[in-house]
Amino acid sequence: MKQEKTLKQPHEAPQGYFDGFNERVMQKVAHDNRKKLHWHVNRRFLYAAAAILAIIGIGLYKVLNQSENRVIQVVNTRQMKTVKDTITPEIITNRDEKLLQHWEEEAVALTAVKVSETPKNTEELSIEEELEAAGLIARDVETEWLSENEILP
Amino acid sequence: MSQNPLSNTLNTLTDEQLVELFVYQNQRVPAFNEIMNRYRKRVYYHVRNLLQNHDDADDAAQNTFVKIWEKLETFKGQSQLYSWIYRIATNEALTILRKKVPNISLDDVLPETMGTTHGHHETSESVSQKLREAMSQLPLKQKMVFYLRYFEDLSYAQISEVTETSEGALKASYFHAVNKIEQHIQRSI
Repeated sequence: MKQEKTLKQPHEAPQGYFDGFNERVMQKVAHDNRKKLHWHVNRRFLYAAAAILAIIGIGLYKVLNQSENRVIQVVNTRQMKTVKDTITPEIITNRDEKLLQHWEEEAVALTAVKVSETPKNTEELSIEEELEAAGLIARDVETEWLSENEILP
Repeated sequence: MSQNPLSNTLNTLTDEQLVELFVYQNQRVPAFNEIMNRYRKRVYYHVRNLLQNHDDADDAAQNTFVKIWEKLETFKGQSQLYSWIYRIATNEALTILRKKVPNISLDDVLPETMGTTHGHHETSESVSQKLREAMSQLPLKQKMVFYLRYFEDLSYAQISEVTETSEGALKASYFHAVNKIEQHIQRSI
């Protein structure tokens, strides 16, 4: 029986270990609760901070994006201005003159083509018709009608 | 705690009644203290058996009761309170073991380096020392089954609740454990 009782515990706890066991556990529980509470409170602050950072980030992005566009606009405008400034009046004049000359030549060529393409009706028309077309003689409509209807010989 | 009018009668309550009492904020601490009074030694020796040294066993035992404090409200009473507590204790012991020996399972034997014992508490020539040595060479699961059956006098049905293993498998584990322990003790004599 004595041996059995000895066998009943394969290990031994240090003396007095269980005396303050409950208190140690409750301290640990309280410590854990405090940690959880801190984390709970901190978590709210963290969420708030994250939200603020997100808003600031979005705002900054928009502002930077706008300013970037503005910079591009300014650069484009300046480039345009620079290009305009670099073109001298002489160049413009020369270029315009050349263009005018070119257009005149083209217009002449086009007129020539049109003239050549128009049918030469003058050859086919009789002398009377030519004179009539020219307004030199008036057509006798009544006489024509009568002769057409075989009233006149 | 002793000022509480219920504290003197707490030790007459059943586990189920203590759990019901725990729900009430003003009775929570006394009820929990009573649960600790009932189970602290059993929890400590159980985890000590698995972990082999006092410091780890102390951590595991305290963590077990911290977990019990946190989860007792959600305890549905589908199993016995002691088996629920043993399960938590086993898991805590395994958590501590896995910090030292990653991937260790209940089928593994604890490395010898972890079996450091406090010499001033032990008598090296005693039968219990030989038994301890024999047990230290058992795989964790066999060791746990042997401990719960032999030292805690739990039935196979109760151990089955703790380990969530079939009774047949537990009987086999216990049989193997007894055989190995007998062989070890015979060799040492």
